[in-house]
Amino acid sequence: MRKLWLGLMTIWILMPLPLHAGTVDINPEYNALNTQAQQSMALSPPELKELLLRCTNLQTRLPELSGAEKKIMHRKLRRLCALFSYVLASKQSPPK
Amino acid sequence: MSYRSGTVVLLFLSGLLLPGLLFGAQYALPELPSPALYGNLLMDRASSRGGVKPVSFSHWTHRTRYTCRVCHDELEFDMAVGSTEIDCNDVKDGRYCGACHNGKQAFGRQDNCVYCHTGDIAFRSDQFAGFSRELTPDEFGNQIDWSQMMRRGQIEPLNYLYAKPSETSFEKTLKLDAAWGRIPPAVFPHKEHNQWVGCDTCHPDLFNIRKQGTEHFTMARILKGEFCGYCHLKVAFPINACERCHPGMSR
Repeated sequence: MRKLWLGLMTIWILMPLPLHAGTVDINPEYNALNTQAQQSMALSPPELKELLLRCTNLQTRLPELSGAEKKIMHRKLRRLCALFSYVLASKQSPPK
Repeated sequence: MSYRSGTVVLLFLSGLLLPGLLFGAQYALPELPSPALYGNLLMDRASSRGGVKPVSFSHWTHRTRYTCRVCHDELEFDMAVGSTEIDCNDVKDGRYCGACHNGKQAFGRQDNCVYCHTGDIAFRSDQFAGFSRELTPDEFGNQIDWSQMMRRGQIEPLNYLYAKPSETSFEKTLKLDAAWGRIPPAVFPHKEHNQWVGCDTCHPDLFNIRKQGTEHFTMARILKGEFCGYCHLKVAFPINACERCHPGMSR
């Protein structure tokens, strides 16, 4: 029984943590999303959906920030999300 | 001249003059400040309330160094003056003006408050003549053709501070029919605008073509500061330069 517990503890310590939005460093991710805005029209719908998802995920991290940084990122992410949605919608159903 | 022929001449002249008069009456183009003051503004969201003079800012001193994208996309300065929630601590922390005005890239804020908080919209306008002497002339606004200078490589304003944007992919030129049949269509080049602003500056907040199409981009609304008027009333070349957007139109 003791060996079983030790084994389980070892596995738990060594098991790699799954990657999710919470482990993404905010600033590099924010900058990476920012740089994609200019080429949004060249991206495919799946790529735009991925960017939209990354944008939305990063928005959930905003409570970790404070002050002007939070204000600025909040505004910018809202605009980026809106842009990616807009371009995605135009690709999926082009205006007449 | 007989009565009838006089009437004919009068009607003919009215037909020529009336559209112009109606156009002028409906679309009163704004009176422009002097070139040195064009694009200048006073930021006074909280300064006066805080007991200091408003901040004087001139676009022309910054345009040779940075594109619009840097301040309005990266630093998130709102286009509407007085609506960006900026205060002294933000600048101290390297946000907004403090991103450059840190004593390294540009003069810092330390002991320099009064250099910006002048309350004088004409601050440094005495330096404009010397500044603009060698620059490509234009007819309106600052009387400087910023886009031409960019095309010729006479100025190379930085397009980013923190992360280099990817190459712009959309360079389509749009042709928009004018509401008045006598006015040539407006031509909108994405390529020239991409050099200065980011896609998200305009889309979808300012221009949501999917929602309403382009028919509502009327001169009346532009003159109220909507759509193109967001920039082309007070900072970018003013809409007084009709033929810049409506090629072939005579004034």
